[in-house]
Amino acid sequence: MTDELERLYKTTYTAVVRFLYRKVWDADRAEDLAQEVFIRAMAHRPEKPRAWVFAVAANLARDEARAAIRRRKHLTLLSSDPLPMSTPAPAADEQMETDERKEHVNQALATLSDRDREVLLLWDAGMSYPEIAEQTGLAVGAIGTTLARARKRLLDAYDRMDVDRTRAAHS
Amino acid sequence: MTEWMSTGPVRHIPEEELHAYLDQALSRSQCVEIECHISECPACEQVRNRAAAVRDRITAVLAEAAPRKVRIPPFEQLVARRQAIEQRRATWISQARRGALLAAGLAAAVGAGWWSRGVTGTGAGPATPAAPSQILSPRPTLALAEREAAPATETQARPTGRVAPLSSERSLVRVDRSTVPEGIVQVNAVAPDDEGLSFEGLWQTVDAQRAAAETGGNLPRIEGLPILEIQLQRGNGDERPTVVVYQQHPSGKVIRTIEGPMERVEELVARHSAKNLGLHASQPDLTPPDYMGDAGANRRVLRIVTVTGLLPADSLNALAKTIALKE
Repeated sequence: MTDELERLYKTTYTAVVRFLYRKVWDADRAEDLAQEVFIRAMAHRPEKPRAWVFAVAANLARDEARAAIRRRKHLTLLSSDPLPMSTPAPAADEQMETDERKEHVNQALATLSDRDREVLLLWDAGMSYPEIAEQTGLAVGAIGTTLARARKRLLDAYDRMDVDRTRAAHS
Repeated sequence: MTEWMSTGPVRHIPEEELHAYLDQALSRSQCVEIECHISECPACEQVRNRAAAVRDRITAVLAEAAPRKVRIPPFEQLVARRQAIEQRRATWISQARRGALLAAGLAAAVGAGWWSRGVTGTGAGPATPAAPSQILSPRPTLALAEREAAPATETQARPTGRVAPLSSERSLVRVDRSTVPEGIVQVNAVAPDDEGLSFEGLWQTVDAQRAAAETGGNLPRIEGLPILEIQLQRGNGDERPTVVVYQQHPSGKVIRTIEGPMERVEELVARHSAKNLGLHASQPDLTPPDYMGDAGANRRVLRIVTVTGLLPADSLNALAKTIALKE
């Protein structure tokens, strides 16, 4: 069982971190929570470890969001503070652009319904349709429909933000 | 699945099915059907190409929001962390058990003492009702145990008018044994806490409203039991406070729900278990952790909740299960 868990850990850890990152938007926290997930898996010895790991990850991310509300802190990667006025160095400039793109994805994801976002992120983490269905409670046949809708909506929202950004840059 | 392949007017493949096809979520036979149809249907081919483009773009967009390169910590590191957690819990449980054994021994000794005094007639045993009042426990540690073993309202003993001052100035426990049936010690507490369980550091007694505000509305407590007092100790920096909620159990005993950083709560329980013979603690449960520090230098502080009191550990475990604030 430990071997199986170790194998799962090595093959799934990165996907769990990615999954969590898109929920908490903080790399350190995502890694921390991912480790917590696998530590719990050692204690629980789940029958379907892969599905269990993602289910617990989703729960931890939800708790994390609740805790963030409780502490009235935003867990977004980007601070809402105004950007520094000094001219950024090239590396900092690049970082800013990367952060901005991440923020756009974050905002675009926020426009989806909870269910659509969950299905999309689970798919992106490499879960199969039956696994996604089991975790979300949807029928396997409904996953394709949900994914098709979520993908379109996410792209629409992302492109809208891109247009707004371009307009703002030219104005 | 094959409805769109049926005879009659030309039917096209639903887009969601094309997404499932692209995600390789269909059986081989379903894929063959779709490929056959697409080879003869330009409209469906176009939809397939569009869906594929959307799918590829989504992958790219989500990749933009990927975390930095993830370094997988050695599995052994996780195993070590898990073992450390288990060890801490085991230590706590053994301490609680040791406390329970000591309490049982003490109770037996006290009972034997009472019985022998009753038989020999040398003291205030049950056979010969006592002088107006007796000081049962000059020692603070014993006083707490006894206080908790009985209803906590002072007025219950007052009608007898036999409440005596204590020989120990530090003790807050007064005993009137004359109205109490054999084998039961009635103790009246002035406050829900006394020096037997004194908390070190700066503790504030707060009202429920303030406590709810400080804990973000998640005040750890046993639902349905009256709250006697709430004490808070501020944490470091952004850390949420350590909270102790005193409630009265239907048996009359005082129980404490303690929620805070794991190390802090463990330390309190261990210290109190050592001081107060007979004090039990429920199995600790994780509550949402605190995250400290700025991004890039985060530290996670594990938090736990436990219920302590002079009830059997099983009863405390059952009570602890009713606390909603859990991870």
